[in-house]
Amino acid sequence: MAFNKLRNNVSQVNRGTAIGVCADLFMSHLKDFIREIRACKTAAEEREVVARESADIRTSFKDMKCKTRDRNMAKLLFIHLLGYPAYFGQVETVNLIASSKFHEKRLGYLALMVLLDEQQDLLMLLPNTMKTDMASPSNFMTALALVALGNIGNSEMIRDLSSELEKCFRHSHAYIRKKATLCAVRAIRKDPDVADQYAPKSPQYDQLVPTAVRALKSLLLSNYSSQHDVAGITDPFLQIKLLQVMRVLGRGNKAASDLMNDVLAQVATNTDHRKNAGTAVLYECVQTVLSIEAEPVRMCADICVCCVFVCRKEGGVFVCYRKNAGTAVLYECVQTVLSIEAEPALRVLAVNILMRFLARNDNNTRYVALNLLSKVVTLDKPTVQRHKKIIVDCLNDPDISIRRRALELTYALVDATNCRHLVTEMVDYLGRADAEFKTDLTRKICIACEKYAPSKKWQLDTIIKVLSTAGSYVRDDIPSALVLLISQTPTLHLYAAQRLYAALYQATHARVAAVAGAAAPAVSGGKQEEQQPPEETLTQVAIWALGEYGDLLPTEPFELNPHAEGEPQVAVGPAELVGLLEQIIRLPLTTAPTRAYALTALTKLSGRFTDAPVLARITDLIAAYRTDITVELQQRACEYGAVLGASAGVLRQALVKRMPVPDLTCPLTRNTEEDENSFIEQFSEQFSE
Amino acid sequence: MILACLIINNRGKPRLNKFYERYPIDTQKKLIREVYQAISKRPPSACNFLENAYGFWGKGNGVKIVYRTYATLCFIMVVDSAESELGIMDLIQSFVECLDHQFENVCELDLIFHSDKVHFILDEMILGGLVIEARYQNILPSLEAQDKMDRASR
Repeated sequence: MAFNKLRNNVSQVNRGTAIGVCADLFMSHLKDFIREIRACKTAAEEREVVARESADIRTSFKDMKCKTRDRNMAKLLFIHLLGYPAYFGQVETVNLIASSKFHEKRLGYLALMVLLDEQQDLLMLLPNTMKTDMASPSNFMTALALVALGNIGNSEMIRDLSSELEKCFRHSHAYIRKKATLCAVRAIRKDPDVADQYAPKSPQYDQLVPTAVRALKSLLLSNYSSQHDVAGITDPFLQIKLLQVMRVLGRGNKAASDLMNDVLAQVATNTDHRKNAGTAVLYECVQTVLSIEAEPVRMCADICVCCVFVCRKEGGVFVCYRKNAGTAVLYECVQTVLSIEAEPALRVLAVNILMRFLARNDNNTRYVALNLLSKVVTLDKPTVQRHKKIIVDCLNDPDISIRRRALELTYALVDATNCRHLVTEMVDYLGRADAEFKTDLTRKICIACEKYAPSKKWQLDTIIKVLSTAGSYVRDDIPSALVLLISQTPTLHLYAAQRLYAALYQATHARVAAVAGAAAPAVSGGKQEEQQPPEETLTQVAIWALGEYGDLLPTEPFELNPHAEGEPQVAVGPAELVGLLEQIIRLPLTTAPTRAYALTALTKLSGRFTDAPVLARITDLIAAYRTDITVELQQRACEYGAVLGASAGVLRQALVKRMPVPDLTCPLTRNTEEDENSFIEQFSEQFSE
Repeated sequence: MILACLIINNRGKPRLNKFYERYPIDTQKKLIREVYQAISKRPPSACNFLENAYGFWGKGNGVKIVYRTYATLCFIMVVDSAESELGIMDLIQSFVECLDHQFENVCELDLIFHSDKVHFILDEMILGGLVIEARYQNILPSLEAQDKMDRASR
């Protein structure tokens, strides 16, 4: 809108730049300089121009009588904006500030804020000049000094200037008083010891409640001198801040909450939600209502009316920016309702508003709604639960901000009743999730399974699926959780062996095909070898499980692919099992640790099977690794060879027995207690803000 | 609190950078680059908020980027968790309205050639990371008066 004339202007300027190019004999004007920079075709050319100009500026700064100091400083600021060094102008800023001319002083203060920061020693030179400026009869001189103090003042400066600052508090103009107040905020932030000077000692926060209520009421009722309105809403910024203050004051405080009831209801009914400023206020209001101990019924009705109205009328209003203030208010309103100690019915309503927000097309509103829902969910899970479909849909949103929120929310919603549905959604999402989410997501899925899984069998299936979709993203604790789950559940031994055999079978065949494909045209496998193949984790767990429970497999035929209909069931005998392990060992992409797992599994199986050909094959396979280049494999092969040898005898049976069931708790849930607490703390912190 | 206010054009050139917390120059450059990279990837239909901005603003301390694009320029506010996102959207709108009145139909070139004025306007609106005034009707007269003093002193 505002920038539409831009394109025309750019071309005009480009045409007019040739004039400025040869002006280097004299200090050119700022405009010429900028044009010259813009006319540069290459970065090298630009660097040259900047270097030349910087040199000129540096020389001119040495000459105290130079008439164009302010102009040079303006050029230096532009050079700084382009990202070139401009530190040599720092001393000059102090000179400019000391100037008696307003335009030099103004630019000096600006350059001070841009070029220096609070940690430079140079700032020690300033307090005297600033003292004079702050006491100046001209409001604007005072304002310049105050702005500089508020933006880059360090604690020493603030201490030096404290008496002047106090005088500014009593200034006749609100313009100065406001700036002085914000300087005091910075003063307290930089140096908490000075707080006593600017703020009352041990303030009675309860006394602030009536003041806040009165202030908000007057904002609502008076037909204001429309001095501060934004899109027809009287000072939404102040309203938002007041509502935020009420939230802090009203939490857990019945008396204070009672005082706020009326005015909150007024905000909820009177604010024009069709404007963004209005929605912003309403949002704060709902938030406040939710967090204080509001009088339930009336508030409930009022907000209900208002919100239903909002939702019905609004439609696409949020897209139009001018109306944004309305949403913002509504948003804060919901936040307040959430953080105060409100009736459950009211919360349900607040959640319903949020759900309507969520169903909108406008992403800002949806983001905001998800943000709030993640707070609600800790307080009132069942209400949010009812809307889980919409939330899960948001996982597919193209906007990463929304996906992130939706994911957190989905995880927070999981419980025993809906685990099957939500976790399946999360596993589905895992396949398409952004890489940065995956590690966290796999962990969350497994924790959710551990806590709420309807059956161990289902949990096993889910974790296997997670490993096969995002194997390279999982952390170590997930495979160990799976191993623990299998070994601690005797009824699952056969099933686990079957499923993992199937998974391993498919993964291996896919790899064999890939290797065959890659080997034919050229040796292009180099890239693949560098990174761990994704199914590595799954392969290792599967090999372990087959080593432990592989002997159960021949007892029952099963389907290799349970998802494909009409797949014939296969019976896996000792020969097939050892064949598969052999295939894995021989694959060129298999890593040394996986081979070691496979060798161990073969040794274990040797004690369970009795067929002579199978045993001979196992012995041959292990013997082949006695001369392997990897020390670990070589050592294992030699040792296992000795175990298999005739001399081991009885000892062998004891060595290859099944692992005893470890008496451990799941590594995932061991830390979750802490996680959960920090989760809640995090939310309550957000509330208190 | 507002941590930074940036204006970056759609080719990644900064047109205004104002930081309300102390960062060394190199860090500032890095931050600007990261913010631009994060925002330029987002489609226009995406929401105007971006959380957990990468890098120096730290993960997990609730830093949010609120941005809004007008033609070739992107106005960006980096805020902490105490600010209402929607409120900041309003602030950006107020800032742009203010620029629009000051320069009469503002365009990118105005910001390039009068970067000092842009700073002066911003200083009237935000002080030390807190909003001090948001309405152009109140800001412009005081700017006008200062410009008059400025001209008189030359």
